[in-house]
Amino acid sequence: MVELFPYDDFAQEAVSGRVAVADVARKVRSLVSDALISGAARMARAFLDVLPGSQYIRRVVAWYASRKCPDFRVLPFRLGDRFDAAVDCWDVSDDRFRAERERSEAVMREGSRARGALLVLYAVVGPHGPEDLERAVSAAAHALASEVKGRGDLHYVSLPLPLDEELGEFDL
Amino acid sequence: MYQVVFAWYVSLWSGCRVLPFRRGNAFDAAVDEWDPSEEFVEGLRRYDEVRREGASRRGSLLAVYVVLKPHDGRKIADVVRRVRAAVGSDRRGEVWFAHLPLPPECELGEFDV
Repeated sequence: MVELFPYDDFAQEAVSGRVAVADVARKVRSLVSDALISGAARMARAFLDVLPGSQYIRRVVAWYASRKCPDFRVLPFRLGDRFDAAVDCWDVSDDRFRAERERSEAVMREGSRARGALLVLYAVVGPHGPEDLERAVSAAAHALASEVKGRGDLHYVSLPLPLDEELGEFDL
Repeated sequence: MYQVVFAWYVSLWSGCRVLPFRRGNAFDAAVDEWDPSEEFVEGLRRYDEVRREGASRRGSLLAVYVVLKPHDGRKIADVVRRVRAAVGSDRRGEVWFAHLPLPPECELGEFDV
């Protein structure tokens, strides 16, 4: 059971002058932060859901998301037989945040040569049935067989295309 | 192309709306909350339709994820070329890729919260 913040009580106290302006400002900042984290957590879950069913792939992507996103840290975890993600805010003035960003740059420099890489390839394929897709993925797996690390897993997701006009580009 | 297709799907799954836009040569995205109203419900209905008929009518965005052995950077161009030939992609044979060098396993901790 989530305890909701008593907005009405707080608003009445603020108006009555029983709460210091600094307390009001602090509380408002906290509410905004909670809302941002809640939105970011939903986004992280949705994004990770788009990825294929390999927890390893999701963990690698979450690792990068945590270090590249300026404000949020993504914490992947297993929930029953599902994958989920929690999100919290980085304190960007914290030394740990700077260390994580530097670590990301170090991995980008030496990770491929030392350990390998997660490669994600995106291709738009023409109208097709399920068998055509399986054939295309099988052909890609065959073409890459000699380069794949470990058990040779190749994962994929297929996202049927919406109409072009639904993919509008927004200029803000 | 692949970013906007991803954004379209994430928008319908997350309860947040992703608004992709171009910033110079780069791609960026803004996010706002869906109004949990008819527009959102309509979006979900549309999602089901696209899943049913999108692939056979218009095609698909296919995303292939593979973990490569240790390599120098020159290997990537060769791998992309091979996949392009194998998959026979539409849209002038374009294949985009993202390349994420692996961190050590111990940094990919599973967090229990």
